[in-house]
Amino acid sequence: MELNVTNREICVDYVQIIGISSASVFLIGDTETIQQGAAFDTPPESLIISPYVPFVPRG
Amino acid sequence: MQRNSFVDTLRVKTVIFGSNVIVGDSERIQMSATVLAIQRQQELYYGFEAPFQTFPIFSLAVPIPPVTEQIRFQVYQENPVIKVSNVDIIGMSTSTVMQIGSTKSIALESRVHHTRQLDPNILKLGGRVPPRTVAVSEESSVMPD
Repeated sequence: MELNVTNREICVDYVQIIGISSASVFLIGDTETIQQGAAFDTPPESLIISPYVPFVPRG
Repeated sequence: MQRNSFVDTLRVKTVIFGSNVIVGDSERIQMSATVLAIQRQQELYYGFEAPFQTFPIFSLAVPIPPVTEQIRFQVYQENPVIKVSNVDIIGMSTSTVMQIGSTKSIALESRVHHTRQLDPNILKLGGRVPPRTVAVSEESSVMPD
């Protein structure tokens, strides 16, 4: 694949961000490659209704 | 030729859990985070109940497409300047990066497992229970009721 890019003027006045979280990136600049992966798990068995005992038993 | 980044004002309030603010160029950024979030109705910390290998999410492969394709990439910098007057960030958390400048590669990964543990006795009372904080160490055999 061939990719030709012409970078002209880029001028930003104001960037307002509440939060950047979990393997995210905010870049003012250039990069060649970005690889990102995120996994979030909250399976049904992660809702435990029981008196407070450790949910991963010891040993 | 490389582009230069100009930022007049950068304001970041909070940077936590392996996050980075980079001013200047870098070559390679690689960060990862594994999080086990336990939410209980009362503050209770055992300190031993989180071996990551118990949860498949921390060992499963996160499918990231490999960089294989060869790209003929040509850039003509007509105006080699990126100008930003103000940046205002409230928070950065869990393997995040904010960079003013250029880099060659960025690789980020995060794995989060959320768990909620509710006490039926507190649920019966409609959650009207005074808060308490209990910490139980590994050595202790006493379990709070």
